Amino acid sequence: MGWTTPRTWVIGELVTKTMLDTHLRDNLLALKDPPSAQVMRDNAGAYTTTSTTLVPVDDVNLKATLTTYGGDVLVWFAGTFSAASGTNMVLDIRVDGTDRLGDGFDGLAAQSLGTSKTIVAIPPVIVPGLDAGEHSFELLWRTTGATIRLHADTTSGTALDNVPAILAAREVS
Amino acid sequence: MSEVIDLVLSRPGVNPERLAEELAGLGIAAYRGVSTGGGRVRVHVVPGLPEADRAAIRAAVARHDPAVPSREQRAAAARQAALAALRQPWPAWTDADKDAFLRLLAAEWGLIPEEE
Repeated sequence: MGWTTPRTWVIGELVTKTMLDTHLRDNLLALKDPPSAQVMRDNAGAYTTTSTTLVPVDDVNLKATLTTYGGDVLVWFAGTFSAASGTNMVLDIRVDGTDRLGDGFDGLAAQSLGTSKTIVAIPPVIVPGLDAGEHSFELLWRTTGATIRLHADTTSGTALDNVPAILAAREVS
Repeated sequence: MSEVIDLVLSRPGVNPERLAEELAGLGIAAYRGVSTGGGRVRVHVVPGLPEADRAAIRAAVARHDPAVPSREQRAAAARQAALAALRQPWPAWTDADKDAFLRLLAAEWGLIPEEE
């Protein structure tokens, strides 16, 4: 059941089952189960990049898509990263293939990386001003030097590789 | 975000560091980096790449041999081998061993260029 803008009731009007279903039952159900998308990506191998410009990690599989009712969306990410040698990494999230949430900054999160694997997260970010409809959220990354890796590999047999890359989005208002 | 487009090629089993080195070695001004994952290679370039450069990139990806290590990987392997050779009791260390260790340490800390 979707969200419907609640009715403004009029004094003396006959309240029908249909009205109650739409404006009370269905809206309560919609609030209980808001539009959500969560990707727990197993890439069966590491993602890598040497790009010094922000690019999508995986514009097909590491992308959270949901259809909203026009409210704010909360989005966040976590994954395990390393680098071939000491370098810095910048992460960001792109909305609908165009708008970068960290616009005005280098990105939403940055981390110095080395050969040891490190979990890096983008904390929950509220995205306001989205029209009702389908919206996509993609993880972007870039390095300042050496090759960087996002580990998401159930085939590796190594505990530090065998973890998903998690990208989640949920409408929250 | 400066605009880049992806040249997407299907190519499983790559050595990302070596492939990046090979693509950078082509000397294509529009080249901005390479990403791998899921059996795909995405070469990031600024829009308007001439067809000859596209062809050169495709050919480099096709002839890429993942078994060939990158310069950095060769240096790391040499460093590991040199360290392994020093794994002995302290009284057995010669002046040459101490000098070699100091050189490795200085390279590791970025004080001197790494030797291959």
